[in-house]
Amino acid sequence: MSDGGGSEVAGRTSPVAGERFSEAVLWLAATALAVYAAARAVRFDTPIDRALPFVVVIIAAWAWCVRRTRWWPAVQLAILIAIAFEMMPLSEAARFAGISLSVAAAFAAALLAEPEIPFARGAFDVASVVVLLRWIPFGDVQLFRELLVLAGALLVLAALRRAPAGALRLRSGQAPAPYSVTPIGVAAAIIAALLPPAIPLRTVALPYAIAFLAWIVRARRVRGDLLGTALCAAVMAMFPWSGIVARGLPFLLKQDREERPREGIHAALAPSESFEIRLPPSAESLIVSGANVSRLPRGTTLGWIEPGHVALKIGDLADWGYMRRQHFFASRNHLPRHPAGSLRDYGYSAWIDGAARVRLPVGAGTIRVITNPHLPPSALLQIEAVEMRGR
Amino acid sequence: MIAIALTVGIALPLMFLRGRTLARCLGAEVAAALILAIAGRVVPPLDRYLAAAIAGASLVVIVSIAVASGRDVRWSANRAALAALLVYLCVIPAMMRTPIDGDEPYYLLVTDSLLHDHDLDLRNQYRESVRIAGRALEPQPSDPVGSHGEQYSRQEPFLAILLLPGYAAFGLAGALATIALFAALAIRSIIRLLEDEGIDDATIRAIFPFVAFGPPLIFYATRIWPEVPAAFAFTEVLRGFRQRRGRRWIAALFALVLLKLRFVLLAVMIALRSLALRRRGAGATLLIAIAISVAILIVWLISGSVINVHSWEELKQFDVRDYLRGIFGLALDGNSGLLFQAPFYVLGIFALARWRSTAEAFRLGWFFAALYLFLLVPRSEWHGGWSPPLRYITFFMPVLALGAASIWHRVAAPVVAILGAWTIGVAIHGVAFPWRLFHIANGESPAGEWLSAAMQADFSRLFPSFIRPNLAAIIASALLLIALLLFSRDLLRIPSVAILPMTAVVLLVAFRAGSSPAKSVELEDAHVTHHGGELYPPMYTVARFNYRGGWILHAGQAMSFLARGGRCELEYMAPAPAVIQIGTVAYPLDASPIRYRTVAVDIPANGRVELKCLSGTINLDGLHCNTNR
Repeated sequence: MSDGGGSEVAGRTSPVAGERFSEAVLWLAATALAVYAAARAVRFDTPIDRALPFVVVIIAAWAWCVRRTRWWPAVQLAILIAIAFEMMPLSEAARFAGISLSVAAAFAAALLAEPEIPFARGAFDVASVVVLLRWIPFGDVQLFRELLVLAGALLVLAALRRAPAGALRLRSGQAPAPYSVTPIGVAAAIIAALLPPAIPLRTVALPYAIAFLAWIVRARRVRGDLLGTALCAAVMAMFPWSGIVARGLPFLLKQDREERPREGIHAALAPSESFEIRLPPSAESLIVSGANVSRLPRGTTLGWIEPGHVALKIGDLADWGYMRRQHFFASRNHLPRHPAGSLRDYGYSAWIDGAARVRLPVGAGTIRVITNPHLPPSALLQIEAVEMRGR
Repeated sequence: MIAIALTVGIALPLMFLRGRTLARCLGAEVAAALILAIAGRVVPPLDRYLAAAIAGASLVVIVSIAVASGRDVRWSANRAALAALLVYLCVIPAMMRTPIDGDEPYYLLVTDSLLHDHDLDLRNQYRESVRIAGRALEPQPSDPVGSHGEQYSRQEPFLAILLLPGYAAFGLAGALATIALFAALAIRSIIRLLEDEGIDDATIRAIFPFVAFGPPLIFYATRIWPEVPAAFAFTEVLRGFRQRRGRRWIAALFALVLLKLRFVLLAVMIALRSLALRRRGAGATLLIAIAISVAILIVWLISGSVINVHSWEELKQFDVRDYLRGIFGLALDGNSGLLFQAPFYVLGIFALARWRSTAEAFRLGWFFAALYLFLLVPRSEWHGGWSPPLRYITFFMPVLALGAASIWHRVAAPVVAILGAWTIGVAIHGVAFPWRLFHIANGESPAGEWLSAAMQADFSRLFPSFIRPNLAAIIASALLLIALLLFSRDLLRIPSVAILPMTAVVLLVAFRAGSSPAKSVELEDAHVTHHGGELYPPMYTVARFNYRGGWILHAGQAMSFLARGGRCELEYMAPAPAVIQIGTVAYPLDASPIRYRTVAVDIPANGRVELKCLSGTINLDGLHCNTNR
């Protein structure tokens, strides 16, 4: 494969330009082949699986961006690995993890392939990643708001762009070198775009505020290629659950992963109601959550467990749907202290329900859960299940 | 596990890197570890050995990339050997997850006997085998028995002698560490061989992780087999011969022959080559003859036969089909061939097509091994039997590595990426699940079995099998020949950018083909759902690969499988008349207690078929559909 290297002469196409054209055609053909394979490989009807061809296009574009370096095969390899994982008989989470880790590795390789990333390429990188992180599921995209977020992210990148080295010493007539960006700038732009839920609309101001702040403090001088790449890779590694990275990051850092058997109860108690539960001998925790309590402040008591008068407070548990994208900004709830919720939905719409694990009084054969009578009338305390000890 | 991660993650970079490259490598490792940890939060809990293998492999890959491409690299054969030793020592705990297997425990019994009884009589060792080897053992069939009832092992005692210090100090772990030490020495020797043969530093650094941390060396480096010490000795023979350092190569050759009598075949070729040398050829040949005689004498003293438990009949195999099966099997077999088990070394095969431009030691290595390989490939046990893959050619890997290094600059980067990804996968799999390194050689492969069982379709047929030859084997052989021919003429030109997408399409096509009903169904295979019955012959039958496998059903038992609709032939044996039912049709089967018979059956339609045994007992071998409706 030719690397080109010459320049086009105005008004006619030089042989070098011809080589570049054939190179581009070859890349397009290869990408088309990969997209075909990805489209035919899709076996499951989830937004992440359906987006696989799109993911492949983006990886191919990253590989194209670094085609002059020796790292492009490492980037392009992610296409093969992602398609292979899509076809492998694995659990959904393992399949997504395989795909997303390969995508993350590809992006990291693309970022580190060149010491200086031209601004235009950096902007493409940011745009592609923002689309991957925020636009899946495609059905949930509110285009105007997403374009605003994307523009904000690019503004952050612009605020962090670096002037070309030795630009002032250029001789007259020589084309100036382009502005460049660093991986830390790309990471900042991506994270700024990831955080705002864009519902309500005013939240899209966040990236603009970050851009302004970065411009004020002249943050462009900060250089940490590896840190920036690692941040980008970490975010990309979770793109099938990007909504959780945006709204429930602590869950990923503190989740109690051990799966224990549960016995369902499925009771919802209105204020001042009570409910008696006969506990199995191996019962250890109660799985509880709230409904219509997302606006209640932290520390509000929703009810008690008797015996022991164990208080059930906001903070120990949360509203079941507080982390949904449309509710998150208005909610005053946070991740419960001992979260017991499940991963729900995909991509930027992914969320974790607000179920929490509350330890039961030791030795109690029967407990009674009493709801606080002073709660708003619509509030409910949901008793989801009793969790047993061990497996 | 954390200690192992720290050891690999910190010690390896410190060993090789410095300055900015070291800092970047350590930073990349920390980032990778954090990313894996976070990803682990959403993935169902993995087997902890698998998780450790994935994490360890990630760290090794990062260091390997830094070593291959970094600027501030401190590189030497000694450092490489030390790094390899470190990784092997970290892998040993994973390998000790299950009791040692195959020939390994017998070597350990001999070591224990030498240490405690100062003899080779293993009667008391067999009684205490659970303590020594972790499981109850019986003497192997045809093991030598002394005149006073002494129970000897068929295994040559030299490896057991080498294991003595390690075993005396730390038991089994010490014995494994001794092998790891030999593997590290082999790595050092291989790198010195590459340097001696003029391979440039960048290429050596690039192929080092494939050789040191890839299969088969990483597996044989952490298990008790003579293959890795043999690889070390063979490399030293090659180096000594090339450098005309007689003492070195004759000593190495002596050790090689003592390790396993089969390596006498190498000695014969080396003697021939030595005779052809103008100066001191006769003297060297005499020394080789003495070495061979001593090795044979030791074997004769133990077993009472100069060829141990082998027979001269084994040399009388000149069926061309056997040769083809062995040659292509070693290269392409899904379970036992280079392509699937150690794909990097396939480049060593391709180097054959560039014979004249390869390194001198590569050609010499092939010459030395020619007789050995000539007699190995037609054997029914060419694949190694109950052992990790590539057992009988592990000693030859240094030569293949040299070949690969010779053509490295001709290999497209995407091909290297694919080889790397597959190698990492095989290494992780073998380290995490060491018992899967042993396979009953039934024509399937671990990957094929996994896919078949999970997808309930015959994916095993996609993997070339030369143990139970299939269509994929023929296609793969033809493709290999074509590729070799094109490569030799410099016509194997595929645009680099298209290689990975084309591979993706190949994967897709293979997956689609594997999901569809097969024309032939081997009824003992993993994709068949068995409701009762038993495997024929039983799993651990000696030389099971010499039998036609099958599945025995008794009255009331059944199996179901994906099959093509139409007229098919069912192969079976039945000690007495039996009746089976396929779909809604019952088929009475005549008795056929000795030979396999075929009966024509109708498969209702493309899809899952249930076959029930209504009465009697039947051994079902295969179903072959020739006519589609």
